Amino acid sequence: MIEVSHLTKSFTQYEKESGLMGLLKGFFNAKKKTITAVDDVSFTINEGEIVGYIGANGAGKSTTIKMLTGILTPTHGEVCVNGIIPHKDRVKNALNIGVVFGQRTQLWWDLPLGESFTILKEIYLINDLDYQQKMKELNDILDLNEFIKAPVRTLSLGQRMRADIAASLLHNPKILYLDEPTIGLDVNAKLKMRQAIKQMNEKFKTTVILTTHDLDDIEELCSRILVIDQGRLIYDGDLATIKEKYGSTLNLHFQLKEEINSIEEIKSRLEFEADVVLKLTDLGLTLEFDKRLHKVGTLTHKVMSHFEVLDMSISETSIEKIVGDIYREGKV
Amino acid sequence: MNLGLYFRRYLPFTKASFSVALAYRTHILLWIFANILEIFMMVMVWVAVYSSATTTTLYGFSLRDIIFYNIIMTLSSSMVFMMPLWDVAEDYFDGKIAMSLIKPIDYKTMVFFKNLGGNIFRNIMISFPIIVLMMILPIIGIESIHPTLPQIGWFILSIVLGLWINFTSNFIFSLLVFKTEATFGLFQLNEIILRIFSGALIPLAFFPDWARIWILRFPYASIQSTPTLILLGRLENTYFKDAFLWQIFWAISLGLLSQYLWKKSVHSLKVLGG
Repeated sequence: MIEVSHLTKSFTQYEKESGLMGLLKGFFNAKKKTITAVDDVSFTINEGEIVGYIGANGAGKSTTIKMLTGILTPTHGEVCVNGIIPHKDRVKNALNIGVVFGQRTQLWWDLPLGESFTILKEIYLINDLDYQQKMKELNDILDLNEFIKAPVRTLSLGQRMRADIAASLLHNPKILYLDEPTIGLDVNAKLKMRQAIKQMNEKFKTTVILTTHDLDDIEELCSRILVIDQGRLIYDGDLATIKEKYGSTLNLHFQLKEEINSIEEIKSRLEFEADVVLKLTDLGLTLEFDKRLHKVGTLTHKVMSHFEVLDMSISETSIEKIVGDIYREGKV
Repeated sequence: MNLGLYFRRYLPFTKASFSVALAYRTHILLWIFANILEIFMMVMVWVAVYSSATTTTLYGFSLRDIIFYNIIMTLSSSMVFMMPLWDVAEDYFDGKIAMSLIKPIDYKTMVFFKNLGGNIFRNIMISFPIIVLMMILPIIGIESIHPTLPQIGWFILSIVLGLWINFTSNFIFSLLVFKTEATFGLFQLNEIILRIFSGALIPLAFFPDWARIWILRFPYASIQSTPTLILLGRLENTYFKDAFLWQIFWAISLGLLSQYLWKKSVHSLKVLGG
């Protein structure tokens, strides 16, 4: 379905020094700098797969997606999507794909939502019968009717995102690219969005490529993940392996009443096993541990019995951290 | 592609930009006011020029001729109005260009149809009143211009060519935004070149012979000057044929050039943000 080999994209950037003198210098003699956003990436994706494409900000995810959709032309390497080279045959490729960029919308901002769908119907030359049937199907999954008459600018982020997904599926694409589809959504909206993506994949056999920063998105949807860091593909495989190794770390943060100056002070009072890492951070005292080996309750109880705690919070390992860990080790 | 399908695919963009133009009423009113003020100011300048001249005609134009020249020039320039530079720059800077490129449409054609919406609006607000004014003048006893039917026919044809040349030349300019990111400078440069070389500021007849020969061969003369002079009946037979052939030449060659340059630029495109 999608074949990518040795894909590379580099940009030229002009470096600007800071300060007035620096700007003046740059005005007459701008320094060129080549940035490689995607560096020798190869992978193959089969029909009907949902693949998570993850990496930190600026790792090269969006650039890859933009090359797969034909917006950007690769510097080196080959892309083939459904037998078409996207940047050479952009218009033909566009008929086969649906794209949602979470931070942008393809809807007409000032027009009622329904109007946007009508315009898209004309652009993709969809006939009336197919259109009505598709709208019905999409409405079943995404509940569009409750806000179809409202101007797009009045929609909530969750509604707009659902509408955007519907817009990208109107012409029955074989492949759906979702670039951070759950960004900025609340927990409920995220759940709804994930369900919708899942149903869509099952019902229409749509191949989905999804970039996200949300580990739960990946867990819920993807059987396979690609991890990219600084333009290089550092992992391609199933989620289970990666999670077992990196995804089980929990962080407990305690804000303490008394002032603590050194970590040694705490270590002497709290006797934890060696695999619980103690740190002093902005959030106060932080405990980093494997959630399979230790119970949150036990640890919390121990801290609370020794210190007066003002506030506490729990955070899971972020994708960024996992990627960072993988990167440091070079492989999984 | 089938012509019906072609229009079905692109006309929504014309409709959408026309509705957007309608939505910004104050903007439009100010803009009409600026246009009227400009004609008024130009008339004042010419009155001053002619009152200090020793003859009643300059380069074959009497004061009355030059006033009508200015009015018809305003008519032509609103009929050929196209400003893809703003659209391309906006699409580029806020990254919206990505959203257009994922659609099964040709970007240049889309921008053309989008601009057509603004063009139609401008024609309703400016061209139409000017035409009505020209028709009312004889009724209230002021002598107006008397184009013949063939002249009107050639004028319309010439306007269509002028519109296309204006669009393509401005579109080529707008591609420089990708390279230079200097929208305002490009806009200013384009405006000034257009004003001087298209005859909008002063009739091309006022230029010295050596300069005029070259200016007439430039695409800018083909945009507004040719249709204006046709409607005023100022193009003699030989010049008429020449000017018309230049229009056709530029319409075709700029059409091809803009297509070629667009293909080249889009391959070196950087998409800003996200």
